Amino acid sequence: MSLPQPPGDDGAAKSPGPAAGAETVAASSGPQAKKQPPPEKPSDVRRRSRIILSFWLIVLCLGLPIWWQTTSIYRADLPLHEMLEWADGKACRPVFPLRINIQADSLQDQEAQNLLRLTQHALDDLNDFSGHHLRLQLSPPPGHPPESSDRESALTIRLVPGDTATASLDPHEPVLDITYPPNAIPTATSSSSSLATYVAGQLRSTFAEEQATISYLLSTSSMPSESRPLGLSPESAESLAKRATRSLKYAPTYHLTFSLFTSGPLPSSWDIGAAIADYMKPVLTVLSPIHNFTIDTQVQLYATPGVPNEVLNKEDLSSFVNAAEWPLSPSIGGAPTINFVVFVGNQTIAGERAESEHANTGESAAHSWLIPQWGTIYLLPLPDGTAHLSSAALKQPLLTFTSHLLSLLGAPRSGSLPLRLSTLGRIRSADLLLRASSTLGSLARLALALPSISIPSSVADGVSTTMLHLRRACETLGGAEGLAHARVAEAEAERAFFEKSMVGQLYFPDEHKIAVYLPLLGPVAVPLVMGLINELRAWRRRRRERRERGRGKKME
Amino acid sequence: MRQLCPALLLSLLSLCVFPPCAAASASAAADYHEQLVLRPLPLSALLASFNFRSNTTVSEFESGNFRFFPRSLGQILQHAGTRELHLRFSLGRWDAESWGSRPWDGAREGGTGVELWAWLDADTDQEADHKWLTLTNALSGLFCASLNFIDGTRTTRPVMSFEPEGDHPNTSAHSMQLLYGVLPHEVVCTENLTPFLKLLPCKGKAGIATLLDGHKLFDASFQSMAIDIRPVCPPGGECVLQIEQTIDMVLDIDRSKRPRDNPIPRSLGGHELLCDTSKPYHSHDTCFPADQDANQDWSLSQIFGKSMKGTCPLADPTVPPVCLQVPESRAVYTIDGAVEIKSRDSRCFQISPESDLELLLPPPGDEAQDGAAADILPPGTPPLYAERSFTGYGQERGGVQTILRNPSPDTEVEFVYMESLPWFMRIYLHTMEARIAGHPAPSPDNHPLIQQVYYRPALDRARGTQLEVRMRIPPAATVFLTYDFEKSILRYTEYPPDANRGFDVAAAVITILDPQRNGSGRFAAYTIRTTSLLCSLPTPDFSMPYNVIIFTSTAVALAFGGMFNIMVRRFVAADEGSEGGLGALRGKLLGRLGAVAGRFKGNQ
Amino acid sequence: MRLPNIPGFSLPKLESYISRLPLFTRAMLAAMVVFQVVGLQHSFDVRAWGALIPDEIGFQTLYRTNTFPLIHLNAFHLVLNLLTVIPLLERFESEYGTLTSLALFFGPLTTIPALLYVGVEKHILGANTPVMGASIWAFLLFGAEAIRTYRTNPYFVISTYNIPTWTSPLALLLCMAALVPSSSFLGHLVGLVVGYIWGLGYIKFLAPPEKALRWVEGKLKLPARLPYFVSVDQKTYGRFGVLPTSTGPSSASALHLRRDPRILKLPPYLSLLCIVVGVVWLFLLPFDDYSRRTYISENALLPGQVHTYFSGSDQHVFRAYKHELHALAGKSNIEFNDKLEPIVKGLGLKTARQNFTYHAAGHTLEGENLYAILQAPRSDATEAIVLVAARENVRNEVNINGIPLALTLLRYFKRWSLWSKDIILVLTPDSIAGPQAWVDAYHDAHDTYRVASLPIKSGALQGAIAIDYAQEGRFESVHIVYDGVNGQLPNLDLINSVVNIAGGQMGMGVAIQEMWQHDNKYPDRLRTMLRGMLKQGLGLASGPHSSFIPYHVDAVTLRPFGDGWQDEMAMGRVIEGTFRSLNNLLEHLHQSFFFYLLMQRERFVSIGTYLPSAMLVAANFTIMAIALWIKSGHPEGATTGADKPKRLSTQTVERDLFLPLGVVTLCQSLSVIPLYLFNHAPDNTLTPLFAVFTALNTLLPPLLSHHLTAAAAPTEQQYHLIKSFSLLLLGMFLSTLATLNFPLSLLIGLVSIPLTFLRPLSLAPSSSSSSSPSSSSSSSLMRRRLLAAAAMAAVSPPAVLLAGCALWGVGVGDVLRAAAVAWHVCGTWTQVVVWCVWWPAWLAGSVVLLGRPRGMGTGAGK
Repeated sequence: MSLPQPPGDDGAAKSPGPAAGAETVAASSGPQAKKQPPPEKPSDVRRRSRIILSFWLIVLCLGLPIWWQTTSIYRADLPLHEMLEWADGKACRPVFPLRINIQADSLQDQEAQNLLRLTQHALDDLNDFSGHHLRLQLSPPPGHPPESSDRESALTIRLVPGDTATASLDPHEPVLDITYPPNAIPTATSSSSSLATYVAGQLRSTFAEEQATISYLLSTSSMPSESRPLGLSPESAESLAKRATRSLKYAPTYHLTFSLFTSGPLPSSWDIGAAIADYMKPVLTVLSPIHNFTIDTQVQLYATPGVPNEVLNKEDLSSFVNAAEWPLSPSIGGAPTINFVVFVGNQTIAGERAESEHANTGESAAHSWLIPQWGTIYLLPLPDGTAHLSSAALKQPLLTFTSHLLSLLGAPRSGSLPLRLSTLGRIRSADLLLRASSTLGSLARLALALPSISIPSSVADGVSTTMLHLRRACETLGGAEGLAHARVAEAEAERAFFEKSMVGQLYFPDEHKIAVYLPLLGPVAVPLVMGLINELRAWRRRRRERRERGRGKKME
Repeated sequence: MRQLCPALLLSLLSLCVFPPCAAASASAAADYHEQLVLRPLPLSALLASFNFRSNTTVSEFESGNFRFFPRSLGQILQHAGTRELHLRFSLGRWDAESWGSRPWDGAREGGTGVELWAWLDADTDQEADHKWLTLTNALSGLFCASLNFIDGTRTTRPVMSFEPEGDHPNTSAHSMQLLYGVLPHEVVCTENLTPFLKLLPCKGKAGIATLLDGHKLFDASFQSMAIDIRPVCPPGGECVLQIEQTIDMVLDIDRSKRPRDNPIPRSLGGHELLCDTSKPYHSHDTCFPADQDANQDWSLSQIFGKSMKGTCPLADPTVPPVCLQVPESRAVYTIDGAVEIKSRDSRCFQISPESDLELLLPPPGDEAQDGAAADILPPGTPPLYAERSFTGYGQERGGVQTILRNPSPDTEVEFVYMESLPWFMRIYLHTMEARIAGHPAPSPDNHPLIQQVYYRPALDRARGTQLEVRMRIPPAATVFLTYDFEKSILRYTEYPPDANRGFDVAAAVITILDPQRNGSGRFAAYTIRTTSLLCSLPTPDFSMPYNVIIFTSTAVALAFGGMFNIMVRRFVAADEGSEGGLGALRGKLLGRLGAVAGRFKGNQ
Repeated sequence: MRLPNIPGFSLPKLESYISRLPLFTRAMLAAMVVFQVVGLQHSFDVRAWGALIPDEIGFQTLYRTNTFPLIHLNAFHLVLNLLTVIPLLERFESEYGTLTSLALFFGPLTTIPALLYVGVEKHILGANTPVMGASIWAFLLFGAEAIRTYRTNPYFVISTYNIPTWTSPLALLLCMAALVPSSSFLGHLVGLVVGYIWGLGYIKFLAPPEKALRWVEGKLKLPARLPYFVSVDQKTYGRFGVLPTSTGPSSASALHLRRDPRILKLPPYLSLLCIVVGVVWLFLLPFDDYSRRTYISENALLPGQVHTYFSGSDQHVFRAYKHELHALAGKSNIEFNDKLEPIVKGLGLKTARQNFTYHAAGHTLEGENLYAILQAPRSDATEAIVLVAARENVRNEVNINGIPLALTLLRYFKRWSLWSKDIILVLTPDSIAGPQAWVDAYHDAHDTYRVASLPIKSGALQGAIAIDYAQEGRFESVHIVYDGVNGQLPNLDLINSVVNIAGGQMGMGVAIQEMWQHDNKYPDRLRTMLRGMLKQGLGLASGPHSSFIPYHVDAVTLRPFGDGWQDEMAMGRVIEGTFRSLNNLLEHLHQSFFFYLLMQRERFVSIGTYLPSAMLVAANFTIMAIALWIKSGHPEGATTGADKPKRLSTQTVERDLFLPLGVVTLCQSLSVIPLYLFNHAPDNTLTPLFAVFTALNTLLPPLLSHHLTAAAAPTEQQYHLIKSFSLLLLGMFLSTLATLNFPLSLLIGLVSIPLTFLRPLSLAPSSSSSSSPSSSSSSSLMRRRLLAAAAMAAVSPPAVLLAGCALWGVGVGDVLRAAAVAWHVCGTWTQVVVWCVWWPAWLAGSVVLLGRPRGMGTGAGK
C-alpha cells in the first residue's frame, strides 16, 4: 500500500512542497511499524520488465498464430452473390432462338420476302412466350451450296404450289412441306395473307409441345416470373408433370439391360444380340448425338415375380418386379440403368387398363407396361418347352422397348423423329441449365447457413468452372454446344455440392471448446495479465517519482 | 475329389445312361457343371463339398451377353478391369490332425473371415489401387460383406505366394497386378450365402443347391465359400471365362441330425446311451460312454434337413450330381430311379431332372466292428501341419510362433509362408528365426531352412506389414518359426467399438510349392491357412478424454504460473513485505466495521 | 514403544485436564451424556422431542433451538462431537467465565444459528431436514478461534500463495461435508458464520454486562459455592495474551508460523492423528455408508439368463468317470495321465502334456500337466476359457469329484455348437506348481529348463474356473476363492456372476473367505474383510486360479462345502452357467473393479474408499521424516530445555549427512542376507536357521549401536537424520505398495508404527516430564536400554512372524517353506517387502533407540 521510498530521495521526500507533503501523508497512512524493503537495483527492475515483455512476445507472436493456424477451418471464398443470382435466374434468362428456313423456289424473291414478313408478323402476334420464339429466314435458292446458316436451322419449310393448303412433316428430316393454292400468294401491298397465317399456325402447332415443356420447366424452377410463360393450362401442366416424373434424369450415357426372366427352367437362351441390332440400333444411332448407350443382357431362370397371382391388375404392376430375388442391380459405372425385362411366364394383364394408362401404341399394350424412371416389363407368353427364343420372337418386345425408351428419355411425343430429337436436345439443355443453377444456389445457401463447415478449394474450383460453362451454355442455348456446356456445368455443380470433405466427421460444439481451453488458458492468462498490469503500474510510479525528483531538484 | 475324371464317366454314361442327353450336352459344350461330394470323416464328421462351374466365352462376356455367368459379377469385373478374381468366405478351422488333408488341397479355402485376391489390369500402382477400391466396394455391395473395409492398410501385393490360375496371354502379363486383401474380423453368415446362391443359374431352386440351407451351413464345424473367376483357354478352342463356386463344409453328424425345432443337446435317456459294457462297474446308472465313432449312419434329408430336388436342367448331364466317398464295404441305399456309378472308393448317383434324390447310410455292419477304418475312408495325411500362436504377454510387445511339422518320412517340403500384418504390429525382422525342434541353435547353414525372405515394412496408418518367407523343411522335422513385434498405441478414434476384445490378425498363408513343376503344371501343390490371432492393444479408458485434457492442461497451467511468479516476483524479507491485496482490503473493512460496532456499543 | 516417549502426551496429563474442566463445560458434557442415555429407552423419543426440525418451530417449541445441540444421533456421533467441542468449550469458558458462557450458549450463540438455519432451510431451500448435535457449537467456536488466529498470523503460505488462516474452518467444513455422511452442511455453515461474527466481535454486545455478572456472583457467592466455577474476574483474556482488538505485529506471515516452536512439536501429534484416522477408517468400512452393493457392470455377461441342461444321463457318465478315477487312486502322476489321456481324446478333444520341475526350499516339485482343447465350432483359436481341475487341492485332498465332473462337463460342452471361445481343460497334479507352470508356458514366460513348452495352444485366455470338489456326498453351498498371488484379484464381475448364478439361479448358498456362516452384520463383515486382507497381504496362492491372475486372466476357484441336498450335477450346472456367461463376453473383462475388498458376497469397498487408510498410515512416516529433517536443521538444545524462547532463532546449523546415509545404506544392504538365506536354504535347515537368525537379530541392534557410538559417536542431529532417512524410505515404499497390495502395506505400516515415535533413549527423560536430569543415573539408563531393546525385539519381523505362527498354530518351518515355494514358483514378493522394507527400517529404528548422542549431557543439562 505504501510506496517503498528509496533512501536516495529522502531529501526530496522531506523537502517542503505540496506534492511532497501529500507523499508523506500517503506514506503515513500505513502502519508506522513497518520496515521498508531496500530499494531494488535498477538492473532487476529492467530484467523483470524484460521477462514479462518476452513472455508476452512469445504469447503474441508464437502462441496465438500457431493456435489460430491449427484450429481455424479452411473456407475457400465462393462467389456467393453470383451463385445466388444464377439460382434466381437473374444471371441468364433462357432464350431459344429457332431459325426456320423457308424454301419457296416457286416464288419470286420479292414475293417470298413479303410472305416471310407477313408470316413473321403473324407468328409474333401468336407467340406469347418470350423465351422461345421462331425466326424465319429465306433459304437461298438451291443453286447455291447451303452455307452455315442452313445447318443451324431447326426446321425448313418447303413451299410447294398445290391446289389446297396442306402441311405434312417429313418423317426423316426436319422439313415441313406446305402446299398452297396459287391464289394464296400475298401481293406486295396486302398487309395480311391467309397463307402466312396458315404457315404461322402450322409452325406454332409444331412447336407447341416444346414450348409447353420448356415453359413448364421454367415454371417449376425458381426463375423469376417475368420470363415465365403467361398461360399454362393446368391439365397440360399436369400431363407435363407426369411425363417429367416418368423420364429419367439426364445423363450423357445410359446403360440398357435386357433381361430374360423365365418362371421355369426354360427357355434358357435367346439371341438378343441380333434382335437388338435389328430393331433398336437405328433409334440408338439417331439418339447418339445426345446420349451414348451401353448394353448388356442376361438370362435368369426360376424367377418368381413379386406378385404370385395369374392375372395382374393395375396395382400389381408396380410390385411385379421382385427386387429381392431378381439380380437387376443397377450398373456400377455411374450411368443410370434402364431395365428392359422380358418375362416368360403365364401371367397376363387384366383388360386394356395398361394401354389407357400409358398411352402405348399397338396391341402390345396388353403385355407390357412402363415403370417410371426404371424401365419396361414385357410379358411374353410362350408355348411350353421352348428352349430358345429366336430374334423374330423378340421383335414385338423390342419395338415396345424402343418407344418406351424415347418416353423414358423425355422426348416429346408428337412430331417427326428428327424434330422430336432436336426438341429433346433443347429441352435437355434448358433442364440442365436450370438444375445446375439451382444446385449452385443451394450450395451458396449451405455455405451461408453453416459457418462452421469447411469449404475445400476443390469446391471453389468446381463452382467457378460451373459458372463458366453456365455462361457459355446460356449464350449458345438451343444448339449442340449449348447442351455440351450445360452438361459439363451440371456435372461440375453436382461434384462441388457433394464434396465429401465438407462434411466433418467430428463436431465440436463451442461449449466443448471452452471446456477444453479454459483450464489451460485461464490459469495461464491470469498471471500473465496480472504481471503486465503490475509492471505497468510500477512503470508509471517510477515515471512519477522521476518527475517528482526532477521537480524537487527544481525547487531547490 | 478331382480323381473322378469326367472323361471316364462320360464314356461310361454315354453308352448306358441318357443317350439323348449326352448327345445334347455335347452341343451345350458343357457350359455348366455342378457336383456335390460327400465324404464321412472321423469323429462323426461329414465333409460336403459343393462345386458349381460355369463358363462364358470371352467374346460374349465382352459384348455383355450373360447367360450362365452372373451379370452382376460380370459388370463388376468389366468395370474394375479384373482379369482373375478369387474370393473366400470362411468360418471355423480345418482340423488337420483328425480330418486329414484338405478338400481341393486347400486351393478353395481361405482364412477366417473374408479373403480376396485379384489380378487387375493396370499399368501403374495408382491405377491398380483405384480399380481395387472400386472392386472391393462393388463386391461388398454384392455380397453384403464389409469388403469395402479392405483399405490400403489391409491390402498387400504378394510376390511369391500366388500365381494366376487361368491362362493369360503373355502380352497382358506385364500389365497385370496382383492385390491381396483380407478381413479376418468379418463374421461370415447367412446374408453372404443368399447372394452366393443368386449367382447360380438354377438359384437354389433345383439341383444340389437345394440342399444348401443357411442354418445347416452355419452350424457346420468348418465351412468355406469360394468364388474363383479365371480365363481358361482350352487348346484349340476359344478362350472362356470360367466362374467356379465352391462350398466346403464339415458337418457334425450328431449335431446336424438334431431336429431344427429342438437344437438343445439335452442328455438323452440312460437307455439310449451307448455304453462300454465291458467295464466292471457298468450298471443301469453307471455308463462309460462308447460313442466316439458312432453316428456314422445318416441320410441326406437328416443331414441337410431336406432331400435334393431334381437336378438343374442347365447342368451338364454327364457329370453325376452327387458322389459319395466311402469304402465299397459300406452299404448305401438310395431311392429307386437313381443310377449308381461305382468306382474305387467313390460312388456317384445320377438321377432324372424331376425325381428327388435321397441317400441313406445304415449303421456300419458287424463286419466293420473292428474300428472306424472300415466304415470310412482313412483320411490322407497333408504334406504339412502348421499352427500359429502368440507368445509373450503384456501390452507392449509380443511374439508370433508358428510350428510347422513335416509328417512325411522321406520327402522334404518347400513352401512360401506369407504374413500380412496390420500396421500396429511392428515386427522386428532381425528377431525372425527358424529352428528345428531339438536343435537349440538355428539350423546349419549348409542347408538353411529359410531360403528367401521378402519383407515390405509397414507405414503407420498407410499400409500393413507384408512378410513372405520361402522355407524348406527336411523330412519328419518340426520347425519353429518365431519373430517378435511391438504393439503401437492407436489414436482414440481408431479403436473399434469393442476395443477390449483386441484386434484380429489375418491368417498366414502357406503355399506349398509343387516339387515336380513343369512349365504348365500347377504352382501350388497344397495350401494351408493358419488360424487368425487376436492381438490385444493397450486400451485407454474412453470415458476420459476431456478429463485427461483438462487435467493435463491444469497441471501445465499451474507449472507455468509457479515458474512465472518465481521469475517475476520480487523477494523481500518477510517483515518487510506489505500485506497482500486481500489482506489490505480486509484490514480496511475491519477498521470500518469496528468503528460501527464501537459506536453501537457506545450507544448501549 | 512406551507412550511417554510421545512428547506432551500422557495419561496423567489427560486426567489432570479432565479434572480441571470448568463448570459449564462439565454441565454440558453431563447433559449430552444424559440425553444420550435417555435416548436409549423407547417410551419417550428424545430426538423427536429435541431436534431442530424447521417445520416444528413454533412459539411453544422454541425450546428446540436450545436443546438440539445437546442431543445426538448415536454414540459415535456423540463421542466425535464431545472430542471436538469439550476443549473448545473449556477454553471459551475459562476465557469468558461460566456465567457468560451459560448466558451465551443458552441464548444467542445457540438460538441465532438455529433461527438462521431454520430460516434458510425452510424459506430459502424449502426443505425440512432435522439437525441435532453439538457440532454446531464446535464450528461456532472454530470460527471464533479462526478469527483470533487470523489476527495473530493472517496467512500461511503455500508455494507463493498467501492463504488467509481464517479459511481453515471452511476447509474443515468441506471435509466434514464430504467425508461424514448425513452431516448437515448448512447447519455447520451457519454455526461457522455466527462464529466468525462473534470472533469479529460484532455481537459482543449480546454478552451480559460485567457489572451485572459481578453483582450476581457477589450476591450468590457462586465462586465459593460452585466447584470449578470460573468467575468473571479470574477469566484469562485470550490465552495467547492477544486481545481480540489488540494490534499485534500487523505484518505477521508464514515466517513467524514457521519459526513458531509449536510447529516443531506438532508432527508427532499429526502422525499419531494419521494413524488413528487410518485405523478408524478401516473399521468404518463395513458400515453401509462406506461399502456398496455389488452389481454386474459388464452387460454382456448376462449371468443366470440361460437355462442349463447339464443333468440326466450325464450323471451316469459322471459315475463311470468317477470309478475310473477311483481305480487310479495312489497311482503316479504319469500313470494317471496315461490312463486319462485316451479318455479325454475319446471326447474329441486335442490333448497334450507338459512336464515341469521346480526346485524350491531344497526339494523339487515336479509333475506333468495333462490338458485338452475343445475347439469351438465355427470359431478359430482367438479366445479361450479354461477349466482347471487339480488332482490335489491346496489342502492336499484328492479332488475326487472335481476331475470326473470336469470330464463330464467337457463331454457335454462338446455337444453344444454355440461356443464362441475354445474351452481348455487343464488337469494338474497339484494346485500351485502345475497351474503356474501351465500358465507360464501358455504365455511363454517360462524358463524352458524347468518348464516344458506347450505343444498345442489356443487363443487369448478370457477367464478360468477351477473346480475344487474333494468332498464326498451332497453339498450345500459354494465357496468362491478369489485371492491371487501378491494380493491381486480377479475382476469383480466374474465373482458377481458366479454369485448371481449359484445364489440366484441355482438357489445355493455362496460363501467367501471361509466364512461358512455369514449374517450380513458388522462383525461378520469386518471378519470377512480382515480375513481377505490377511490372505492378500501374505500374497500366497490360494488355489489353482491364483496363477492365472498375474496374466490378467480373471479366475476363481469354486469349492462346494457344507452338507445339503445339492449334488454334483448342480455343481456342474453352476459351472455351465458361468461358462455360458464367459462365452457371451465380447470383450475381455474390463468393466468392473480390479481393486476391492469384499466383506460379504454382495458387499464390497472399492479402492477409492479404502486406500486412504493405508495411505495415511504410510504418510505418518513421511511426515515424521520431514519433521526430523527440519528439526535437525535447528541448533541442538533449541527445542529442549525448560524455558523455550517464544521464537526460534532463525539461523540453522550444518547437517552432516555422511554418517546417517552410511548407516541407512548399511541397514538396507544387510537386508539382502536374510532374503537370500530364507529363500535358498534347504527345507530341513529352515527352522534352525530361523532360530539362529532370530537370536542374531536381537543382538544386532545393540552391537551395531555400540560400534557406532564407539567408532563415530554420532550427535543427536545425526540420530535424527538416520531416523529421518529410514522413515522417509519406509513411507515411500509403503505408499507405493499401498496401490499394489493394500493389505500388505497396511500391515507393515501398523507393525512399524513404533518406529515413528522412538528417539534416542537418553533424550527420552528430557521430554517426559517425569524424571529430572539429576535422576537419570547410568543404572536407570541401562535399565531403560534393556527394556527398550526387548521392546524393539518384540516388534521385530522374526518376532512378529513367530507370534503369527503361534496364533494360527502352524510351524515356522512350514510357513518358511511355503514362502520359499511361493517365491520360486509363483514369484511372490512378500519376502522382499518384509526383508528389504520393514526389516531395515526396524534395524535403523532400534539403532536410533539405543543410540547415545554425543553432547547429550549438555542438551539434558540445560
